[in-house]
Amino acid sequence: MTLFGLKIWKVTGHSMFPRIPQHSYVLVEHWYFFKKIKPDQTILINHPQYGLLIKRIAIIDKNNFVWCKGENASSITIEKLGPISKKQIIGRVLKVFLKPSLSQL
Amino acid sequence: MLYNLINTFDEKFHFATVSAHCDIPCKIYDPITAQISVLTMIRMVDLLTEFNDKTELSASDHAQFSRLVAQKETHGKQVKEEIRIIWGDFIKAPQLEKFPELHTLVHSIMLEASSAKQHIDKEITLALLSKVNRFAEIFWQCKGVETYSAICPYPPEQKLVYPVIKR
Repeated sequence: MTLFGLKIWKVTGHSMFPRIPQHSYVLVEHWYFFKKIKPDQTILINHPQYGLLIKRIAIIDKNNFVWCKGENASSITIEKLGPISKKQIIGRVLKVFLKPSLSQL
Repeated sequence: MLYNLINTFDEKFHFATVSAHCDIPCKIYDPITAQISVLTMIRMVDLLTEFNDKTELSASDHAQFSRLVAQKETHGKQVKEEIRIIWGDFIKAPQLEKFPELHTLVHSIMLEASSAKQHIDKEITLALLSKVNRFAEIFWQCKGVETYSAICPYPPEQKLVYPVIKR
């Protein structure tokens, strides 16, 4: 359900732990490929191999490709994820909703 | 409180999920898969070379030829994939310090495997096997496991580096 370009997603997996633990919810703003993005932003991408992923932007290279990474030692490496085009970005994470017990960490 | 509210909505409306996908460091690495893949390539080359003796090919021969080429291609890709995984995930600074040849060796395996896929040439596949064996030797040395060389007891009966595993 999208409202005013905003949508809530549920996160599975541990790649973004501890900032975004499994079963957190994220509020995502729909993203258009012509919009400006910058490193360290957390984004949702549609990866050709791994599907829908939540990752952090590591770098944007000179060919305008985006390289993403997780925030955990067990995350898929940047090299394995490979570069993605801006058209594969679904949205930008605006807010993370943690489980109450985790938000106190 | 906000989380609980969203959670309640989720139970009712089921929000879409997004994966924070992990690549679990399971620590299970073994170069034997790559070695066996090279052996398969060598065997495929042997079988493909037998077609040189035939003056005419039947439909069945054509089908067999295609299957052999496809297998050679698949196992060539597998050699590259398996070596890349060990090199990318297992090999780190201490191993590189101990074996400075590793980067060059892995790169030459990539090139040799591509070449072995492009040609039906036993010499190239044997050269690839020799490099993959060297990689296996280094891998086991990194893990403090002794190795020995032996002829594999099945076609194409080539020399393979095996770890000495004792209880």
